[in-house]
Order: sequence, then structure tokens, then C-alpha cells
Amino acid sequence: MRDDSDALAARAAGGDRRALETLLDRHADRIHAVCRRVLADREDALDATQEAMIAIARGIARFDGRSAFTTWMYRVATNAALDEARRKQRRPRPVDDVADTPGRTSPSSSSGASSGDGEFDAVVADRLDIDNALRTLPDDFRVAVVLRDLCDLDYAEIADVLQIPPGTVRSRISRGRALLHDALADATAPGAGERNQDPPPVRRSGDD
Amino acid sequence: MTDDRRDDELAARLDVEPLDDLTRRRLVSRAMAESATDGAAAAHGRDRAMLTRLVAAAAVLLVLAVGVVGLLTTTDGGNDTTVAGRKADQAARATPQAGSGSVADQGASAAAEVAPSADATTRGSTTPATSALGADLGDVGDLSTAAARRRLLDDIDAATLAAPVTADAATAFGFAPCPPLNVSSLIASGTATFDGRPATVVVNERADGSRRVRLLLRDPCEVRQLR
Repeated sequence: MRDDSDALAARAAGGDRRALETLLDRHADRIHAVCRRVLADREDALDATQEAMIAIARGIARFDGRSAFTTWMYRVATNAALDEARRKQRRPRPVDDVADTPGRTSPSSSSGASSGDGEFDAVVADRLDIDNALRTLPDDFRVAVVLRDLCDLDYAEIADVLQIPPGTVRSRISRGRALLHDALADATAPGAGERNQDPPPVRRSGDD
Repeated sequence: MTDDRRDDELAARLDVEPLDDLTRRRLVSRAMAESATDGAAAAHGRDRAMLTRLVAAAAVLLVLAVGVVGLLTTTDGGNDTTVAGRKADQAARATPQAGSGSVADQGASAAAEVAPSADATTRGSTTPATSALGADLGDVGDLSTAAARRRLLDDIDAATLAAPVTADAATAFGFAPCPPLNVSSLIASGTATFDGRPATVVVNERADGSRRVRLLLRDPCEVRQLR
């Protein structure tokens, strides 16, 4: 599929609109997955996915094929997600949005979920947990973990996507995973609902 | 588990459900539409840029052409050929007549237009402007008195008067002098008044180089020899 995507990308770069459409349709889920996990928010992720796909469609003519199309695509998706996160931070958040934010659950509902009384579907609870846990990570760690464990990119590919040294990739993944496991453990511990009243802001690691 | 391996537990929890078909189609179609719009806009932009470059190039060529034409018309073998050039040349050579009170221009000729007024800075100049009938002396003022006539003669003696005659007397003066003038030797002319009558001063050069100065009066026609 990778070779096929590269061939499609080459045709799309040459002006083949059908190839471009096929390429976008084929990778829409992967782009969305990256945005979804980097942003940890469904609506923001859809916005970022749209921006990433537009950026790919606009920039495909400049894709020179020196790296795999998927590497370039993940770079575009990651940048779109981080841009969306920065825009979101600048936007004033509507009052109604606070209650709808995943993880910002009411004390009664979150305590119900954590107590396992069956009010929440386990899958939904897990999604909320992973979103909350991801939000505790600095951007750089979160992106590295998402690219490694969600997208299954190796360190060299992640280094290529993020334009950073492989050693920095290794460090970010290691620390990101540790933080994520801790956050997930906290989220599933009894009384986690009360502790997670205020999701931590998105941060940058500044590790490199 | 080492860091180099994928964390399967995390991978499972990070996994995201696929987009539904409707959402995916919407995302793809909008991206395609946006890129198509960009392509059209880029093509339009390229057309506009090309047009702008063509207009700019045409403007540059026009400026260059005007500059070249201007250069060619202002210099013709070292001689000025344009009206402006002639005027400038006449202005450079025009001389007021010292002591006459005025050689200011009042005529309709080009020379008269640029002849200096009778101010102190130009008095004593020795090169009157040229006219159809030799050098233009301008308006030399009232010549009713002997002193005024003497000053005029002194000025004429001091002036460089060698302009060629380019028209007959009747055409240049607007009237036919009596008796008819020998325009071939006429080297300068000007306007004046004499006893309240309009007059024309004409200077001829004799064969020996001396200058004959006469005053032409009209109504009735009369010629007065000043020298």
C-alpha cells in the first residue's frame, strides 16, 4: 500500500485529480486518527483533519517523493493538529463548552463510571480516559507517542516527520509513555472523577 | 518491553474508529474543491501577473521611446531645432539696449517672447534676440528726444547684430515701409515711439561695415534717418 500510495502521490503531483482523490480517501482515517489523538477532542480533530487534507491537496504538487508519501502526510497532519491546538488555546472557550469537554465530567457521572455501576459504557469511559490522559502530556511527548504507538512509525520515520534527531524521538516516546501510563492509572483509580475536574492545559515539553 | 517496540496496550487504547462514509466523503470533497479553487486562483493570478509584467514592460518601453525622441529633438548636430531650443538660444543671445530705457519685447515673434525686460541686470548686453528681420531690438522706447536717440545709437554700436533676414519687410513689420527697405542688408529691428507715433527702428549694415539706423513712421509713412 505504501508503494501504491507513493505511485498515486506521484500521479497526483503531476495533476491527476482522480489519483489525489483516491489518495485522500484512502488516508483520511489515518489523518483523522493522528489529529484525534494529538488534540484529544473530536470536534477539533475533525477541523484539523479537514485542514490537513486541504493542505495535502494544495501541496501535493510540491511533493517531490524524496520521502514516503505517508511520512509527508503524517507531518502535514501533525502540523495541522498542533496548529489547531494553538488556535484553540487562543480562542475564548464558550461557557457551555466546559461541561461538554470530555474528561470534564460531572462528579456524579464520573464517580458512577469509576465505581463500575454500569451507567457508562466501558468503551466510552475508556475513550474519555485516554483523552484525559493524553491531555496531561506535553504536545511534543503526545505527538511522539501517537506517531509511534498509533501510527506504528519507527524512530527514524518519526524523526523525519518531526524533523528532530532520533535520540530526541526516543526520549520523548519514553517519557511520554511513562506519563501516559501514570495518567491512565490515575484515571481508573477510585475517586478519579473528583481529581479530574480540571483537565490540565496542553503543554509543550521543552525537552530539546 | 523496550522503547523501540510498539506498546500494544497503548496502541489499542489510542486506536480511533474509522470515519463514517459521509464524513470522509465530505472531508475529501471539500479538500478537492479547495485545491481546485486554489488552482483556478493560481492560474488567474498567473494571468494577472503576466498582464502586469506586460503592462510594466510596455510602460518602460514607452518611457524609453519618449526619452529617445526627446533627446533627438533637443539635439540635432549640436544645433537646437525645437521651438524651446530656439527660445532658449534667443534668450541666451538677447540683449537689452543700454541707455535706451527698454528693449523689452512686445511683439508677437518668438524672439520677442524671450527678449529680456529693461532691467539693470540685462542692460548693456550686446546680443539682441533675432527676428524675421534681423536681430530684435525689442521696444526701444520713446525716441522723441535727441538724448534717447543717441543712447539707442550707442547701444546699437555696442551690440552684436548679425542675424540674417528671413522675411520681407512688409511681412515682418505688418506694413509696407516707404520707401521700400533693402532687407538684404538689414541686421536688426525694433519698436519705438516718436512724438507719440508708433515707429519701427531698422538697422542696416553698409558695405563698409558701418550701420545705418532709420526710424520708420506710419500714418503718414515717413522715414527718419538716425544715422
